[in-house]
Amino acid sequence: MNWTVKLFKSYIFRRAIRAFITVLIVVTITFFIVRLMPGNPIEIYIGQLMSQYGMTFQEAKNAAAALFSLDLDAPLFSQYLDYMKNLFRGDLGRSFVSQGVKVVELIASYLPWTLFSVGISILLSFTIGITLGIVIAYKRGGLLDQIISSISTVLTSIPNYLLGIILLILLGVQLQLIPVSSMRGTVSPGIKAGFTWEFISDVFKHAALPILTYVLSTVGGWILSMRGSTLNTLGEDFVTVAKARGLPERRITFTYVGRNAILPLFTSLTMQIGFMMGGSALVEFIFVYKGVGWALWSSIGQRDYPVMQGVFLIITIAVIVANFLADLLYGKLDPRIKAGGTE
Amino acid sequence: MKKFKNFLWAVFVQPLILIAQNKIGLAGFIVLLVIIFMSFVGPYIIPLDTKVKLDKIYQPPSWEHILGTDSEGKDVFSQIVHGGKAVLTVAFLAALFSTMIAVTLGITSGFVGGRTDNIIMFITEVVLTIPQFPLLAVLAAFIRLSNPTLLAFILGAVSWPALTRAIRSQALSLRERDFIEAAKILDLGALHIIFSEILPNMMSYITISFVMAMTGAIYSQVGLILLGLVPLSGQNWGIMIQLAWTRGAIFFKDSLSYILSPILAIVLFQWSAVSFTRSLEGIFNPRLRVRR
Amino acid sequence: MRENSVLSVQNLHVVYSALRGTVKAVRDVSFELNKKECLAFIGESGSGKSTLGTSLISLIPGTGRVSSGKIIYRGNSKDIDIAKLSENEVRKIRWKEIAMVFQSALNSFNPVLRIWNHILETAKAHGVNDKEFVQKKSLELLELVQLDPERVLKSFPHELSGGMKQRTLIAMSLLLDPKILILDEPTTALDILTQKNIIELLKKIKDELELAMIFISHDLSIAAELADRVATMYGGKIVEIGPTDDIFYRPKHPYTKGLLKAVPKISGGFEELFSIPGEPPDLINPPSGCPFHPRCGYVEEVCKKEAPQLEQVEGNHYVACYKWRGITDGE
Repeated sequence: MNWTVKLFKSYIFRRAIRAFITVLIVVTITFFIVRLMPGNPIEIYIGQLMSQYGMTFQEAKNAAAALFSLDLDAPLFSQYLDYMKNLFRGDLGRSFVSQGVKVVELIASYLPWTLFSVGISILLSFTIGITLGIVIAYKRGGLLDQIISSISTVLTSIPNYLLGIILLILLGVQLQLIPVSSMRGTVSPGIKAGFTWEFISDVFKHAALPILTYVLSTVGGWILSMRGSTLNTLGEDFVTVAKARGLPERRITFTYVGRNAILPLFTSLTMQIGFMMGGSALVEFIFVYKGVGWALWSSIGQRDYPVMQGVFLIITIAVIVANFLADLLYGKLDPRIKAGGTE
Repeated sequence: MKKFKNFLWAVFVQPLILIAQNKIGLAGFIVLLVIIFMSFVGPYIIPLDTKVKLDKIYQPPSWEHILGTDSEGKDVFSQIVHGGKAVLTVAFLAALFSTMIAVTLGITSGFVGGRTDNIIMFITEVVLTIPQFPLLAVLAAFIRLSNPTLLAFILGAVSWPALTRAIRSQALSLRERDFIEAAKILDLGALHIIFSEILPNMMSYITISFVMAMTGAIYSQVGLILLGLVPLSGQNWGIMIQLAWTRGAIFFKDSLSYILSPILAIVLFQWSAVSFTRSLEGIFNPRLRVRR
Repeated sequence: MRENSVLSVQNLHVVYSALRGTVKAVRDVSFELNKKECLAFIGESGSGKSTLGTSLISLIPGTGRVSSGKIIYRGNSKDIDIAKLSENEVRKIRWKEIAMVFQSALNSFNPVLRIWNHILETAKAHGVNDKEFVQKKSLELLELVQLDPERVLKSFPHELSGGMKQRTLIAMSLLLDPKILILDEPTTALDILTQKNIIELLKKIKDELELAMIFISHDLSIAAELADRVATMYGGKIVEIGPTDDIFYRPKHPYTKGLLKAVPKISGGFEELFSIPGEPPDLINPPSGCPFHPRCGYVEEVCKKEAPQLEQVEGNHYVACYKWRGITDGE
């Protein structure tokens, strides 16, 4: 087998292609939503310019075209091609509201905060969840199992933004444990970005509530899934054989039970990434945490369509990339995926 | 007629008998019934308090107002009773739409197989990757979702993929079972096989999916309302939360029950739905049962 | 007798607790396993033979436990009662002294580890840390089971066929030179041709190596190819035990006779060919007297009242039946 055939058959390559196609499709859908929806933003904007600034239709149309980086006189399909071309050059147009500011620059200032808070939350939640899940699976039926399982069920049933409100009320207003108002935003004013204790601790202080919310609202799901998966794995023959081989209990728990029980959770991991990135629109709204979720809300509220379109795209692309990474990790952990070529 | 009876049995009676065997599942089921009863029958029993009483703004719970009063001195409890119907109806319709799409696509995909399966699954995977809530938010920016049915339709239209995938895998496993094989050999016809062999056997699973779809629809629906993206009016738990939030009710001790009541109503519904479906799952999927 | 024995099981009882009551899976079983001997246990599923096998290395599944009796291992200078060992002590016995190969050929290996890692970790678990020695030994053993050693060591379990996995597991079971090898239906999940090969392989191992075997099977014909002695189990008890030829040609227990009639001509694992009428006994409320009496064609009043004890037919051949004298060989 020569290397090109190998490449085309490899799991990574096929997953990359699929991720890429998904991005293309999402980009296309977004374009047509923006251009073809009833009351599409470009027409609205043209109308606004005409009524507010007394522009002629042609002037307004030119201004709109510049904003969206589109030639509005060209046929739809060539507009679509232009749009794609611009996108690959990283040009997402300019904001309506903050006149002239490039959407890409706005996104660059919002995205890191969301990736940071959501990323840390997923790591924390997944780690805590699988650890507790395996523990209560080993102690199934006991008091600890019953308590943790019940709490987990309750946590999974609270929508994350409502949990956020409850946390604000409980920690911020009722118990006065945390200074809610100074924790808004992503960093305190006047603190310089850099690798300093002051900056890093400030970043964590501001992200603490969103992270706590994400972790609490997802950890229950991981605990329960891991519990179920561990119980299934404990019944597998290779665990019995491992015991017959006289392997130490620790080795069996980690390498035999734990590692195999995690594998089925990876399908949920990709779902969870999408759900958390999507839910950031609500959680960041509650905590006034200025990431892409907050930007999506504010751009919709201000009818700042180029920003909205860009933010939506970037959220989706982030999810697709994260899913791709999760799949790669899965391929690394499960040798059956890499070699067999079946999914 | 006998078939119809069997169908009813499989859909309604059998799950009930099984639920009664699981304590948490039974608790969830009862709470679910109570909430539904309160939301749909309650409004005829308890009148909505519409009188603005400026001397009774933000009162803590008392015997007169068991959940306190709101920013206009209106009784919160009566709003809770009246505010469930709208939320639950939209969630029900949305779940109905998405389950219908998912069942149709999932069964087609699982049973027809081949290229049809590939195409349906590809579309499903793509839509599944698009984060649901931002998509809804963007759509809400273009479409005025002031009509509950339209809102439900949009909610359903974006939430079918996960369900489709699950139903397809169920259909795939059912396809291999003996009684389906037998029906095929007897040449009973695809529609007959689907309606009298497959659907009844998947009904428990579809019930679970339906309830889970409802919880998902409530999440998105209330989220959209909270962000102010759907111009709904009337009595609605989501609108209550949004009003309480924008009026700053979280900052005062006395206004707490005003904002917490609708939140707890929603959480209680979600919890009972999750417990109910978990116990159903435990019953129908023996692999999930606790090994002793 | 004593100095020749490696394992002595005395009055062993194994029970499971179930919701409905206590399942008496193994009842008052005693036997000796001699050096270099292959002893086969045969019986239907639910006869207690697999439970007996797992109890020998304290690996009874679920709620099962030894309720009384002794399992004396005589492989070392000092006799040890396995039933009394702690989990950590018995862990050291497993695989090093007594290895066990299971019927689940397809799923015996951890899917995320290569075969080489399985072998290495097994050696390490028993204090053998010399990598080169382990490698040399595993190459030899894989050669012995007629596999391509280099390839197998590098493979993940899913890259091997069912037959290859079972051979690998058998090779691995010999890694630490155990004194006893327990084989629990080692050919069940395999196709007929592979079954044949595995049996040939086991014969070779038995001839070439110094170890005693316990072979558990529902298939008398497979057992007959390998075993020196055969024990028939029914309802958790040994109902007949003796040299293979005696059991095969001159069975005395009606149940053994029934099993023999059900043996298919080629040694395939056709369980459904068992044609003894009636159900296996309920082990929560076992029948009074002889466990086989509800299905027995020779039943008399005494059979229903008191369980018959094993009595000598001739030499090493024992049977637990009141009526054995009346049961003719041929028929």
